Amino acid sequence: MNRRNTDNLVEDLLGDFEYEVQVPYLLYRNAAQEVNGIWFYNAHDCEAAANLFGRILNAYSKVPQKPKASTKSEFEELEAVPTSAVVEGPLEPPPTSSAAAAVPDVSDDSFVNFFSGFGSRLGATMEDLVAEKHVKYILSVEKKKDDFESLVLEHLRMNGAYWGLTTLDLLHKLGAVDPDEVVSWMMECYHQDCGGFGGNIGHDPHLLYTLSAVQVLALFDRLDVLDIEKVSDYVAGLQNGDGSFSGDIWGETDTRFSYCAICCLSILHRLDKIDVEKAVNYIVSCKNLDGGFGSIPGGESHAGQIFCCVGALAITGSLHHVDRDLLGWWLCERQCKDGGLNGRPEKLTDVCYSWWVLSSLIMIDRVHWIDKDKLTRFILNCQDRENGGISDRPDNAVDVFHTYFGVAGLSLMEYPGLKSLDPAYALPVDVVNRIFFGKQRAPSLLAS
Amino acid sequence: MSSSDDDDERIPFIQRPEWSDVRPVPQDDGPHPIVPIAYHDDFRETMDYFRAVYLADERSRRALDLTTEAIGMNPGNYTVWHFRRLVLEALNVDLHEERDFIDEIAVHNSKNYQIWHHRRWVAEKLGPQAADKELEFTMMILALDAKNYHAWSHRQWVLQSLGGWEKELDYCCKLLEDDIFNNSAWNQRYFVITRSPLLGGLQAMRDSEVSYTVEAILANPQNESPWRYLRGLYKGDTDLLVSDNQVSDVCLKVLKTNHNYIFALSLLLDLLCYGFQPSDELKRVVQFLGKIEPDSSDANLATTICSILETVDPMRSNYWAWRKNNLPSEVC
Repeated sequence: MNRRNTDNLVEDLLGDFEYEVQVPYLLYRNAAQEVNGIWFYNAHDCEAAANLFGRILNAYSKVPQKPKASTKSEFEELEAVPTSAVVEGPLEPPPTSSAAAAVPDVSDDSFVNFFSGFGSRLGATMEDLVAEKHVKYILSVEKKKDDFESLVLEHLRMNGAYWGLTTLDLLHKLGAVDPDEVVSWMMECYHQDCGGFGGNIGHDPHLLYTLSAVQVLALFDRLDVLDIEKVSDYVAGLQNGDGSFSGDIWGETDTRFSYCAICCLSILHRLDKIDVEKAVNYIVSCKNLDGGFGSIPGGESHAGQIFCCVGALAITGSLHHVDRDLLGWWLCERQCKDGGLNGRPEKLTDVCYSWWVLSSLIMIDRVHWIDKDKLTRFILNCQDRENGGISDRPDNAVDVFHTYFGVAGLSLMEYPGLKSLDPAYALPVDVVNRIFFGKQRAPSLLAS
Repeated sequence: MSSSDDDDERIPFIQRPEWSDVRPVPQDDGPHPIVPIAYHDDFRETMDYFRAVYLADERSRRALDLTTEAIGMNPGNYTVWHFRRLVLEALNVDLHEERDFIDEIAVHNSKNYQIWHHRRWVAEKLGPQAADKELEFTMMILALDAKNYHAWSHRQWVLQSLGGWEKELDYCCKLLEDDIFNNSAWNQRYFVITRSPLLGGLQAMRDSEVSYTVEAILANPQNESPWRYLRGLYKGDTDLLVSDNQVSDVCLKVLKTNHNYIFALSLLLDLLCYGFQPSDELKRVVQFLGKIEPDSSDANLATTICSILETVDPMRSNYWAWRKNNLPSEVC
């Protein structure tokens, strides 16, 4: 019922249930004759929740219960079916991607569609996220390395590992994977000579994959396998004179890499190895008049770049550089009629922005400025309910990248059944707590 | 994958005499063995041979051609690009040829980070004489997708590092003629106005830019970009924003149409918060929109605007409610 509580409260709305709104409380009596009150920080959320109860009760009083469409058992092993869709364009890893261009298929947010989205089963809202299917989908992707799509994307397998494993953890299923297997594969991607990780075995080191590797090790609480000095020296060595960061020795500069470096070093408690002030100044130089950030100074504000910059500023304790009201407004203007979010004005909505826009809004404490109900519905409509996985838009092909961002977005909105996700580190909150508070460690020069 | 020509003519590496001395190296994925699937043979074979030359660090002409094939099949593989650059340097290849190669493959891979970075690497080495060609190249990509973020980043880098500002404002005008909603083009316009060494800078350009922007707004008041651009022209100088009649005028004009007025109301709200004194005409128009009696005492303009926005922009009703609760005291 709040961000830090891992227990979910489940009530059967369709049993003996009565409710009453007394802002800021939503009072109710359940079948056990208990009277409870849910306190809302925001009056509008309180009324919206009451409204939702009303609509659910109304709808289920009219719609006949449909029989289950599928005769397959939930627990049948999914065949590893290679996808026929070749992923368009590179799926560059977090935080920014150029979303695949696809024909928009905007879901109608009419009342009927809203309830058909709940599927044919009655019951609590949490069942609308087909969590088991997503787990199966991710595990199947991990297993099939030989279909064309996997081969084509093998160079960024490290990112794929981060997306897939973090999603599993959010769904409380990280235990389905053998950490030793993952860690041993990961260390084969490590370049001992320089301290960086490549995207897969046999690939050159790069900051993007080094961050993902560190994040995955954090998930498994195996950061101890790292030569922390070596890895952090590799990352710190990529800082340029103007404070920016390059992705690797070839020099591509982008605020994405500022985020990667700062997030990575923070997890390793080695932020003191870089010039933080210069890094911050460079990020601030990429701030635009609309309050957003681009990839380079003067670059167009883009939700992905904004996440990187705001995340980096948050981690270094420099959020005072952000005009929260101005940026918050720009970000909430990303929400379109279909409830989804886009990345820039007049662009198409895409599930991945559920992460970048939402995490940015949370970091600047303005997430209540979007319509969470509508966004939730949008994400849920992007699921492949038969085979698992989430796509960029409803009815498109799924992939691990969008599956992660969809589940992450739902987690940020406190969707029931999911672990809480830290918006700056993009790791579950319990993992972040373990990194910073879990062990007795000599504190390094961490900004608060 | 490779073009249709190559599909017909491709000879497997194993049959090519010039590669007979090389032992291909299969992909190592860790503990799980690979199960071969015929459909992927070409790709797999090419990558096996690539691994061989990469591990042997063979920087030869045939290695360069091999990277061309590998890139053709999978332009996202960044390790292939890295190695290609090492080979190009070792062979001291004429980079004009390399630029032509990128021209060919970029069109089908216009959102690929590796290609754009490689292009920049080549252009950097070619120096200022490359400016024209680079601007032409990005123009070609933008003709296919006028919002391609990579193309815009590259273009901005070219202008700042290699020059070529002369026609940039005209180019922005043209793109905005094609699509007045193109946020990237508006962003570029701001980039040119503020950074071009050939124009006078923001202050000198402000008046003409305001006229241009007002026209764009009136044509499509629901267009987010020109509204933001307009604010940007005053670059945080709220006194100037408030005192320029053109700004409040465009709000009034849009409000009077009783249509697509959300951004107009929002700008007017900000003006009021900065101390703007509205005319009676403006007050009347807003009251009309808010369905408020003209002489009613609860006609606090800023509050009325927030209430209207809560209704007409319900997706962001929390934002407008917050604005209402956070009006500066002078405005309440």
